[in-house]
Amino acid sequence: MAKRIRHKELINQHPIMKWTGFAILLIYAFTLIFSLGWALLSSLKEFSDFRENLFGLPKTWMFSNYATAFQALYVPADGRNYTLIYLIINSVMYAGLYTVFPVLANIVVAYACAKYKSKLCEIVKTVVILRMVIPIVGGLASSLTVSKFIGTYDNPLLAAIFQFSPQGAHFLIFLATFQGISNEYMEAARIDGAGHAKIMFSIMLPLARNTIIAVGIMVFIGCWNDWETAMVWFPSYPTLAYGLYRFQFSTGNSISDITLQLTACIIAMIPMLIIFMFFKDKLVGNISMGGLKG
Amino acid sequence: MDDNEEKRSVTQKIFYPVSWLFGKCRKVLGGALYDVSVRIHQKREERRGTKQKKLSSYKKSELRFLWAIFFWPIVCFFVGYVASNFNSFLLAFQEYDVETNSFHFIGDFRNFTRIFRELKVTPGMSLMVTNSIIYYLFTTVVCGAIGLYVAFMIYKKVPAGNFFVVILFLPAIISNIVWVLIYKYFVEYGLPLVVGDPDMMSLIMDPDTSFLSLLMFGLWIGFGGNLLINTGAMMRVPRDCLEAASLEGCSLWREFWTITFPVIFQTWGVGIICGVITLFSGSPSTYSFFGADAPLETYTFGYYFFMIVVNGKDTELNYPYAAAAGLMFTAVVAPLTYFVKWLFSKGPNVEV
Amino acid sequence: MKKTLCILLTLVLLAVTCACKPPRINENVADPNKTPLYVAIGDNGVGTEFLYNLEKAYEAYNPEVDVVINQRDSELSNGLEYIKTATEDIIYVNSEFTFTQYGNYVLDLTDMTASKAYDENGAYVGMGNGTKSLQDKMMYYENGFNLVNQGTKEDPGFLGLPWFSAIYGLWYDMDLFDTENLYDLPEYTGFDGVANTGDEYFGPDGKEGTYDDGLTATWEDMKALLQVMKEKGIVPFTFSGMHSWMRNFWLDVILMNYEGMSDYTLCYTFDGTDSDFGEINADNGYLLKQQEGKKATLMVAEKIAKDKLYSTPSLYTTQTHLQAQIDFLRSTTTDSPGAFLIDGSWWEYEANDEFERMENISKEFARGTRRFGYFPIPRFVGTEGLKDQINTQQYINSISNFMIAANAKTKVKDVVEDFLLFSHSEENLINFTKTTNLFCLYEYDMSKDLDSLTPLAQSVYDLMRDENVVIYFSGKDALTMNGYTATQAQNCLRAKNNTFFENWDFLTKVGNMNYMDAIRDMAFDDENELTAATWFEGLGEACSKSTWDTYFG
Repeated sequence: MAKRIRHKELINQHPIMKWTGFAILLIYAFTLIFSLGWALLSSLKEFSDFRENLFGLPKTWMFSNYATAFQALYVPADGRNYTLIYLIINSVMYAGLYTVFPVLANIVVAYACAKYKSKLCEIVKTVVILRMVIPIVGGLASSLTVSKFIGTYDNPLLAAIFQFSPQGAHFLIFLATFQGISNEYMEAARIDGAGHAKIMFSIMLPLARNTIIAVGIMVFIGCWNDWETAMVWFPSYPTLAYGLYRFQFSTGNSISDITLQLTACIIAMIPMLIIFMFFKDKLVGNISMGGLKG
Repeated sequence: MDDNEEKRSVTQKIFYPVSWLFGKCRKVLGGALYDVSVRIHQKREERRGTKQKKLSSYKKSELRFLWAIFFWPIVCFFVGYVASNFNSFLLAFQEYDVETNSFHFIGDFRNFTRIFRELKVTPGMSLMVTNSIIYYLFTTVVCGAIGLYVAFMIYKKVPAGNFFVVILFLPAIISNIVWVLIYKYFVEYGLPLVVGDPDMMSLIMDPDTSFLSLLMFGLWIGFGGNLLINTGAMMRVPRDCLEAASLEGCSLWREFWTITFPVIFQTWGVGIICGVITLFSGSPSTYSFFGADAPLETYTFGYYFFMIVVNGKDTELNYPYAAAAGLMFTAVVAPLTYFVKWLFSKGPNVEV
Repeated sequence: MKKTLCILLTLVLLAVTCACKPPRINENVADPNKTPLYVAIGDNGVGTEFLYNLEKAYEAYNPEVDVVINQRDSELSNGLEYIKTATEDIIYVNSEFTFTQYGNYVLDLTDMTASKAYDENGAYVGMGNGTKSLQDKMMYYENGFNLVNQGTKEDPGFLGLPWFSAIYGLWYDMDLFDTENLYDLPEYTGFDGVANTGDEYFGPDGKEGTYDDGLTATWEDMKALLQVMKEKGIVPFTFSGMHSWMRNFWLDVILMNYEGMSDYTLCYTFDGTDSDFGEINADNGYLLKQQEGKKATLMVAEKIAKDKLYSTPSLYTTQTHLQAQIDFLRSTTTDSPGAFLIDGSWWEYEANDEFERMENISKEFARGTRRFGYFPIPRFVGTEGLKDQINTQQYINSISNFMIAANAKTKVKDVVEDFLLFSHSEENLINFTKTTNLFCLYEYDMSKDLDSLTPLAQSVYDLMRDENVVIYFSGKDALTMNGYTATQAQNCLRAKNNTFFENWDFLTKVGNMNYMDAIRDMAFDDENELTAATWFEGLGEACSKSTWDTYFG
């Protein structure tokens, strides 16, 4: 009954605002869907058809563009031509490594800070939050120098290992999540003789599974879509997103073909759309964040 | 012989009593010190005993566990954050030698003064200041306000809300570079046809509209920015408050301004506070659009210093300059961030 | 246990994917029974066909050597930097002839180039067995010789060899000029500004029977031509929108043609006498911002921009030079054909795919059938508001920073030298040109093989041999044509202050805004604030005495 009252209260009492908001969101949704649809349609055209018939249906449906894209589009790096398939492999590798290590770091550190009353935990939590709050500008040049010195430059595996450090809002998300889980589970497990590691991995982490999956997927998607990191830090491991960036400036005949570039765009977005569709509920559910008071 | 005996007797007369006295003092002091050391040792033993009683095996295992967890993250923190930032200081006082491929100290402030010189001489530098401010205000004020509005609409269960949530997520799911390509090709090839003027000039190339085009792009893909965080914060508003407001005929705007906004104010403020850094590090996807060849009117500090560090040959020549500029910007941004934080702390802070 | 295993497996899989790479490009293996000679080449728009032909020819000449060609597109995209880590013996690279950082990494080729290795006809006869040296061949184009020479005239030094040279400028569609009767327009008035006096129809050199007959002699004539084109619905100019340097490079060619060698190079040395400003030195160099030639250049930019004499996509950020070529070629089948393309002479080879596509429409659109030629810069004589141009020579811009260098670490020095000398024999130079339609700055005779070249390449051949034409190199490289050695040119005032002089030539300040890209900025200037006059005035403001003194005071 309360839900129905709320429903009525939310929708029926403010029709102007409601429908204005609806119209704005509808227009916005239209622009996004139209642009994606246009890109999809253009990817099925020949370049001359694209120039002459921008919004119409393709004169010849060039499904072969997708096969051509896998052969003709490439990024030259490190003496090799990274075609789309290798760019995708590099994207999986980079996204995987840069999801596993940083998210795991956030999880374990946030868990420790949330569940243990120790001076060390307080110090770590304070440092992590301070790191978020203290703004440091222009550290790229220095980071590149340090990275080249310790050997993580152009080495994704080693660089990912050195990413094992809590940072950003995800730490706060996990902190809030673990703080929200009752300590009774821990205590019960302790009484039964479980060690700290067993409690963490077998009891507490599964309870935070939804958050872990949601954050992990968001981080994976973010890494898959990130082209700047590959360009700056791993020039010998070009990713698909970096490839898309490079194709637009390419001097190669086939690579500069706009329809092939849009084909590559469609190829790049399909995996992420599939992941999103499967995990939509987990991603779009509420993720609350602890405040930054003090 | 008699002189020697005389000397000896003088020696004996003067130094013997002194040495006797010294020996006595040494004995007394030595004894006292010995007593003190025994007492200290006893106390230490007592304490150890007490400590051993306090530290259970569980606590020991807890400490071991925590150190096992924190060890590598602390190392990574020192390497990735502390060392990098310390190196920024060092780099700001160095110069790169292309012939030996190494940095060496110069011991003066020329890297710091370079930006002031370039502000005067290099074209577009003064425009960077304006553009950076415009970009920051645009993202925080305009995009922030629109983000709040969109989140409020979703929170208020606008019709087809679930569908719109999926749509609003799309820019985050699909790579920024995909949107850039679609936007560029559509604006230059498609827009002239849409408006019915095939000779329409490119809005992205036009000096008057190029920066605006980039800002519009940022707005387009950032329409649903911080949607989850904003809606999550809005859901903390107590239901009975809303029902009471509704019963009293409160308009939606009034409800937002007097009830919802104060509750979410601090959460929303986190984004504004953390966003101050974009004043010197942000750019409206300029590098995605233009690479290193952006027109002057689209320059921001974030774009310029990113470009000189990553683009082209011998970029190490610019590392010291970028490091020095970064330090100066940090010196500006840090107090500004705390000022903004202080301003927000004066705002509503409703506990629910 | 299972979870741990899963996690470990994931990490192992991720680690394995790190190792997943495509095979190295053309990672050819040398024949173990022969002496290997490794050659690296990047993506320079000329393809690799010529190199594979050269490989076959050399292996036939010297069967004990196996030439192995490695494609190094990404490594050589940073120019000669690759030589520091290269394993190849020879590299073909796009790089300036500046060896400050690389002197220890490149093989000194001075002795090799001095060795008499060719007979009178340019055929390779082995080191020391001939009457002509490679230096003698290079001296045919003395300007090119001076550009590459790292020593002095008396004591030359060579750390790299010229690979090929491409002409940069305006290319016109000869077929269009024929069909639309755009030669010898009755509107032309020639140097004296009066029609029908006999000086209108021989081009800027004023001589009958040369490459520019029928083309515009003066800027006034060119304005008339552009007007006629506009009335006929022809779109005069097509160029790349993405690469601003391409249209600005052509403006530099106009500047050079107006100012001439002496005044042009003064903008790099700031040490000499300018025809307008008198004595120039490091204290008053800022005066050169307002050389008269800039006014001429700006007038051209203004005409193109304000009268919209360019194709609309030419000012799209997405218009690459390849798309400009495609647009230019395809426009012949539309109602608005394009007349001029701003690009380098390599463009015809680069647009090969498009020529093949168009050949499917009609054989007359095939490469080698369509005719294109170099459109010379007209002389600025009788132009209102502008002093008459004094220089009468036609300067054509040669992009010559294409180099062949040898690795100092090579273990097969004799073979390297033999190969390099062999590749510059008469026959191999001719073969290079026949394959790529590009020319090398060496002496060799193409006169018997001209029919194998495309009309564009033939027009370039005639151009390079014209008496009135001087091949020049833009920027500081022009100094090597004006008595400076390459090393002196690299140490000129402008070269040593790159940051200050970036975009210096056309940087202007109008109102409170800075502008650099004349054609683009004027094209988008709706308020008509940017004209040739206001831009020229703003040049002085953009680099005033106080700004100059900040750096050089």
